[in-house]
Order: sequence, then structure tokens, then C-alpha cells
Amino acid sequence: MLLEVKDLSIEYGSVGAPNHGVCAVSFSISEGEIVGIVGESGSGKSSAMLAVLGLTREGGRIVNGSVRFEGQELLGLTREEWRAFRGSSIGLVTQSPRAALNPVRRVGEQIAEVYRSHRKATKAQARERALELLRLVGINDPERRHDAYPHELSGGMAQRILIAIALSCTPKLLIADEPTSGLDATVQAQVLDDLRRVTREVGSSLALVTHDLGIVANYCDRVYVMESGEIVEESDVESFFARPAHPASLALLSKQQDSQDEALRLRGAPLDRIVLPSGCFLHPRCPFADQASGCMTEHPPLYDIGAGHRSRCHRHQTVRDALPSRYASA
Amino acid sequence: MSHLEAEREVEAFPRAAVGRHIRRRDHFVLLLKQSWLARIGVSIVTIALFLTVFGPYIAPYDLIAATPDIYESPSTTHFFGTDGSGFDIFSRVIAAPRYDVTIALVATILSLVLGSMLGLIGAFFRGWTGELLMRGSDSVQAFPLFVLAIIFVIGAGRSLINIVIIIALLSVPIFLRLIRSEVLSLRERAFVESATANGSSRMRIAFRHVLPNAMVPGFAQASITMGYAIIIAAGLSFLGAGVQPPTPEWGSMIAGGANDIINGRWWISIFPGAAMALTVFGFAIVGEMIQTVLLRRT
Repeated sequence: MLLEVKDLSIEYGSVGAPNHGVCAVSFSISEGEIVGIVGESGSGKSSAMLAVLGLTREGGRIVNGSVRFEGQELLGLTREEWRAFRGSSIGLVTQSPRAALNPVRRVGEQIAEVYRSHRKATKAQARERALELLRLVGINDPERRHDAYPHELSGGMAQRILIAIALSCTPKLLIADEPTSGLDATVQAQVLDDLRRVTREVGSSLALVTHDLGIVANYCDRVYVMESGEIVEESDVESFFARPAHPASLALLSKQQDSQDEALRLRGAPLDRIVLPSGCFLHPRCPFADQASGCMTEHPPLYDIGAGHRSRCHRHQTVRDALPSRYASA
Repeated sequence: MSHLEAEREVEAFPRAAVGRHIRRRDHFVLLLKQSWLARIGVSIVTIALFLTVFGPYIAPYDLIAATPDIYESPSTTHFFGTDGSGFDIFSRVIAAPRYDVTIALVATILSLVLGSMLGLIGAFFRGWTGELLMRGSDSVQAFPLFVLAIIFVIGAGRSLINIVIIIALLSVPIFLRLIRSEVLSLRERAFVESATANGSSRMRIAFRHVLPNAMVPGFAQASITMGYAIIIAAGLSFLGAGVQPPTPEWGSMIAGGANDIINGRWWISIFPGAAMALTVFGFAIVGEMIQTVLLRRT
């Protein structure tokens, strides 16, 4: 197992009444695998992935859990150990590519900089490496683009530069956090194709954080669905799309398909998680919630429903049958 | 100081007129082509800098040798006339940037460097260090700049170096605040998070990622501060606290001719005054140009 996260919890805000951003999340990624992490905004998916790099957003702290990378425990590393780890073992591709590049520096320098901060390399070697990476991520005329500033690039090209930066030290794992948000549909597909191709070429695993199930269907091997700071469903992609087994997954699917079917939607927006609901965290919004099944009183475990497919729903049987067959074609 | 905010509201040059993909150098050239104001500003600054280096050498008359030709009005032999000691005013006006512009330039660079460093520190260490820096700035800025400058110069002694240092120190709070506020907002930007996530150290983030971006408005402010520094340098001399006569310097020349204006000898004060005003004007325009070119958000 390349990456193994166990019971990771992250809290935000005051210590007395914290917002439970991520609650006891466990997931794993093995070598060469492409794993999708999906969930609506605010479900904790980005927080959980940033924590793998030892980072939290403003006001956040990792309160519990374990993150093991190639068997080595990461939580508890010193600042310098973290710095050396980030970018060399795990690379991060963030969303909004143009904002993620430093506007006053040439893109080639920005690639070379990451390389040089991890490897002993001369300026000339780092430049060679940058050009090689530009070629790798599918940028035409790398010599010229090397000296361009971010504002001179299109969104798709900027995203490719970010991928090149993240890949500069050939990390074992690449985390791509909504890599295609803000790109138009055709460019999205090209960037994702390139992302998949380059991770295969360098032999990295890829964690793809997204709220787009279409991307998961097309690019991922396995999928984790997050909701209310928890993993609520995990499965291989085939089994997931054949019969999704959690209301949150159904809601994402129906949104994807522009379905007007209210029976599949979650009501309202995500709640803040300062006071967690009793029972299933999702029950105030869930169309399937039911007194008799214990949704309001008992917090559901991850039920094993066969072949590595697991769902954190008391009513997973009902949920699995609720999906009209026309959806199951994805 | 309020001049920073005031300057921000003025838009002398159209910002939307150019596309995103223009290089800064080309944008600067474009401004020169499009705007006569830009051409005037750049010409003035170029001439001022030229005179700073060569002024004393190209002056047609001796700068500090008294002659019998006193109080001559402007003519073809003395373009700007002569004063009560028989000094040629034109020669002295074009020689004066050697002092005024040099003082202002060195002071501005000093305060830009010092202010940026302190601003960076103030933004990254927001505990008592940052608090101390901000309250220190408040204290300095609470006093009228000029009064403070005079007090310090008298206290420290009227040497050229002291004048430069004092003007620099008084301008530090402007840069400190500007850079600090820029750094505070830059710290939250996505590219800083991205650099952190890819293994940049905190020092590298501060100096390679945040500071270069924060310096952008710093440079625009520097040109505006240049103008103010010239006024303070000349103002100190005018009040007798700065460069001393007979050294050719605008402030002391204005002061020297002040009593002659009511006798009809207007040229003794007016020409150095106009030269100073033009120079300040030129730097202000160039500051605005730099701002237009650099602050083009992309």
C-alpha cells in the first residue's frame, strides 16, 4: 500500500466548540492506482487530501489519526522533514491554475525551482528538466513557453504547467484537487487525458479530487465518496456505477444527470459541523432517512456490501434499489 | 500618509485599453505613444537624472564664484538672470539636481529597502514584533513630516548623510504599511499554498514568491515618494536646516531670493521653484505610469 490514512480527524475554529471538518476518515491508495475522491463542496475532501501533505487551511488542525506513506508515519514529522517530503514524494496540483502560479515569475523558473529545492542540480540541469517536463505534459514549443509568464498562458496550458511542477521530482503520488474546475469541457478532457497519460508514464498513483462523477467514471479505478466530513461509500468504479449504495452518491449522480427527481436529492446545503447530528450525520438532509432503521439515533458503520464495496448507510439495500435503471448506464 | 491613497484614486492612464497578453515593457512604450502626459513625465525625469550626473559640468558659469553682475534680469547672457551675489541662476538651477535628486533618490531607495523588509517581517510575525512595527509607524506618522524632519536634522547635525537618513526613515512607514498589507493578502493566495505543497521553505516563500509580488506597488510608490523626498530636502534647505548656501540647491536658492520678490526681482526664486515643481511633477507622472503598467491585474 502506497498511502494509508487511518481515522484522520481535522477540526477548525475554536478548541471548545470546533467545526468537525473531517471525522475519522480512512482511505488507502496503492501503487499505480487512480483513485477518485468525490463529494459536494464542503464535504471535507480537500481538507483530507491537504492533510496528507501535513497542511491545513487557516484555523485547522489535525487532531487524530495516522497517515502512512510507504509504511512511514508522516504525522509528527518536523517542519523541515515535511518540506523535504512535499513535492518530492507527493505532488499537489491545485485548482484554479492561473492563481496557483506566481504571476511575476516565468513558468520555467517555477518548475525548475521545485526541482532544485529537492534535488542537487545546477541551474542548467534544472532548466533541462523543466523543458523535459514541459514536453512531457504536452506543451508545444517548450523553449518559448519556458520563458512565458502565467498571464500569457491559456487556462489549460497553465494547468499543464502545474502538473509539470507537481511531477518535477517524479513523486510516487500525485494529488489533483479539482484540476479542471474553470476549464471548458473540451480542454477538461485534454488535460485529464494528459494527466492520466503522464502519471502512467512516470509510474505515479493519482488521487483525483472532484465533484464530477463523469470524471470518476472515465478516469478512476476506485472511488471514495465523502459527505459531512466522512467517507460514506467506497467501491471500485464498476460496482459503484452499477449500483451506488449511499444517498450522497445518488444525489451527486442525479445532479450530474440534471435529474429533477426530488426523491434522490439531498435537501438544502451542507450543515456546519459544530454540533454533529445524532445518528447518521446526513439524516436532516436525507430523503431516505427513516426512524425505524435507526437513522436518527444510531451512527451507521461502513457496511460491507460485497467485493470491496462499502456504504455508510443503514438503508443501503433500499438505496441500491432506488436508482432507476436508466441512471445505471454511466 | 494620505498621499498614497489619494494617488490610487487618480487614473491618469486608461487601464482597460490594453489586453492581458501585453508585456510590461511594451505596455510602457504604448503609454508613451498614446499619451502626451506620459511623454512629458518621462522627459522631465530623464532630464532631471541627466542633470544629476552632468549638471555641474555643463553649467555655463562658475557655480559659487561671486561676480559684480548682481541682480541682472533674465537675458541672453544670463538666461535666468543673476542674484545678489552675482551667481548665474541658470547654472545653479541645472546644477542643483546633483544635491536635491541625489538626496531624494538615495533616501527613497533606502526607505524602500528598509520598509519592504520591515513590512515583510511585520506581516509574517504578527505577534508583538508586528505590533511594535505598526505602532512605531503610527507614532512617526502622527507628527507632521516636516516638523519631525527639522527636529531630527537639528538634533543629529546638518550633514548631507544625516539629511538622507532622516528623509529615508520618515518615509519608511509608508513602505512598511504598503508592503505589509500586500504581503498579508499575498500570503493567502493560491500560488503560496501551491508552493508550500510542493516543498518550498518558508524563507523561499517569503523572498521568492511573496516579496517580488509585494514589491510591485512598492516601485510605484517609490516614484511618488521621490517627489516628496525632493520637497522635503528642498524644504529643509529653505528653512536653513538642510544643505547650506552657497551650495547650489533649489530650496536654499528659493529662500535666498524670497526677499527680492517684492523688489521686482522675481527670477531669483521663481526659476529654482519652477524647476523643483516640474521635477516633482515628472516623478509623480512616472509613478502613475509604473502603477498602470505593474498593477495590471491578470
